[in-house]
Amino acid sequence: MAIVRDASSPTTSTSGNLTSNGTNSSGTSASFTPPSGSWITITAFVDSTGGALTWSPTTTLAGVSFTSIANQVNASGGGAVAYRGFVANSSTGTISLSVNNGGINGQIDGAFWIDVWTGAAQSQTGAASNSGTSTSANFNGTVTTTLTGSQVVGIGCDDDGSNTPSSTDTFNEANAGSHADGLRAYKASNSGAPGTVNVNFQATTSPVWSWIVFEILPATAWASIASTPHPGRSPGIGGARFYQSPKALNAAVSSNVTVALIGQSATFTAGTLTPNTDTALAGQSSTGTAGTLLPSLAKALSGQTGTFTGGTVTPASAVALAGQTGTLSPGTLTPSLATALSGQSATGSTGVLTPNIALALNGQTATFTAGLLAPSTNAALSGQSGTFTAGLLTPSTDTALSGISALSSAGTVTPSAGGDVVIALTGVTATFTAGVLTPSGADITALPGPLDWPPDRIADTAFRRKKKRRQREIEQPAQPVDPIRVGAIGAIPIPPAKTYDFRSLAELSGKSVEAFRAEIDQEIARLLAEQQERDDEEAITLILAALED
Amino acid sequence: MTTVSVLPTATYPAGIHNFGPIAVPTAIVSIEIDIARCTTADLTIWPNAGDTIAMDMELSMDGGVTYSSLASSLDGGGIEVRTKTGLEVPATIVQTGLTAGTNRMLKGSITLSAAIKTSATVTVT
Repeated sequence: MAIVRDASSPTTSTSGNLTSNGTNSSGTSASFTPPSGSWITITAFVDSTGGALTWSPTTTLAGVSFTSIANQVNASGGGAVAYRGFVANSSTGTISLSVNNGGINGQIDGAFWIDVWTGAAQSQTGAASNSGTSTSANFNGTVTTTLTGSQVVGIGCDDDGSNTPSSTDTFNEANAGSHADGLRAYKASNSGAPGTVNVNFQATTSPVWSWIVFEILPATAWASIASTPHPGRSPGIGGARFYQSPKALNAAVSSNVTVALIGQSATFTAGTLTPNTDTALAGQSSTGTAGTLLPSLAKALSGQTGTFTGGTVTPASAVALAGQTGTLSPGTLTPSLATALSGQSATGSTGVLTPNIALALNGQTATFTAGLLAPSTNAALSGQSGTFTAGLLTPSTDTALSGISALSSAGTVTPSAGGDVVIALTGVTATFTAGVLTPSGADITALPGPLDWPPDRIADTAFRRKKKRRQREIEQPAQPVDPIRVGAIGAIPIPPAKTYDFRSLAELSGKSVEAFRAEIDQEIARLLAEQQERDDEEAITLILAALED
Repeated sequence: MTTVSVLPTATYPAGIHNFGPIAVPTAIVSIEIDIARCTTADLTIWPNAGDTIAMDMELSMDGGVTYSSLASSLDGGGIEVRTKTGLEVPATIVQTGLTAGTNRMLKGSITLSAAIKTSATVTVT
């Protein structure tokens, strides 16, 4: 794991935070929260009027104390210092740093940086450092690292004060006074194999440097430690060994993360567990954060692979949930195996159930919503398939509704299957609306006649029929008398092909059929008596005219 | 503290001038190399700002079998006055600590970009 400068590192003023004209100067960082297992480094510089510099770091972070890495001064009063402190448990706090020049009253200006590093070994024993002074405008302070993957940090103080310090490495610069310039620099990437690592310090003119460069050991130190000849072993691969047992060595080095969790390598931060080998968590590799567990092996959760978050479980193997694979969220169940829900696979949410195999609902597949039932096989509703909505019935097979297929709505019946027409409504196909019946088939004459024609239409039709009949009578010769019809009305012959709709006539007259027929019979008898001498056809014509009028 | 002249005052041609290896006693904890600069006292020494001198020191912990860089620098010539003291800077100095050891060797090089009159000393502490 690479060593990384953590984002929790507090911002440091670039104008300097150690300023005094006395014998002591101090400053305090912004509040910050370094993660557990991280290292904090304090790097500082100060320009003093003279005297030995005594540095004192303090902190409000719980359980954190600091150890000096190096302290460098030069003859002109400039000094640099570096400290480190391990954060066993994360907490929030500040760091204060004070420096005393031994009682020589005068300027004592400088600045300091607080850096938080993750990925570093818990033990920094053996970490290398170097320090010195220089008047070079461009020089490299060097440290010889001891482990692969170490980070290297440097602090430089230019107490000549006319420069703006810089570096070819990652750096932050501070101008803390007329003779107090400095910078903290670190490598952009961790070092490779153990060896020389330079940190660059630059200034524009006549600098007077005090500098420190130091190593931060990486957490994953096993390989490097293994390849480094032990003090008790002669150089070379085949060198004889005379040192303590491996167990004792393990305890001494900073690689105790590797042996965590019974042989697991892992990263631990507050609320987070990330083992990365199969034997972690009873055989699982997983990523965990507060409230979240992500086992990734089949042995997890009684053999399940899955993703778990608060309130949600997503098992992914067939043996989950009594044999089901499914997605569960609050209020929703989506089992995906045939044995779910008494053998059904279904999608369910609050208020909605969608079984989709034949065993559901007595063998029906169906979609149900509030107020809606849609069975889809013939066995539904006594053998009918159909769509039902409130107030609407649409059976689709001939056996529905006593053998009639029909479209029904409130007050309306529309049979539609030709094979059933003979049975339905005495063999008539018809459209029904509220209070109205309109026969439409070839057998329309089987009914007494239309009852729903508007009066004006009837009148017009009657007029047209009368005129047409009169024209035909003039143009055509008289027909033979039908003895049956003559018998029916006495001596008056009636055209054999004529059929009169007494019901319509009675309706037009506003009388009942029986009353109307009786009145007609009386009228015919009277006319016959008065017109016995007239021509039969003329008498009939008069009768018809009287009747139709 | 012991100071040794490694380059007497002279005009040296452009190029690399090596010194050492020098055995470093166990008690020595730091080393400093001083390269003389231009001052009003002697304007002939390294007078041009465009002429550069690069310095590099290497330390061996295994008796001279292998070496690692110890410190390096690159500077231009001309008179420089220290802001803090108002005094001219007589030498470019690089001082660095030494890793403790019993079989240490030191060597270095001074590289001139042009023919430059200067001198160099090494001081150990």
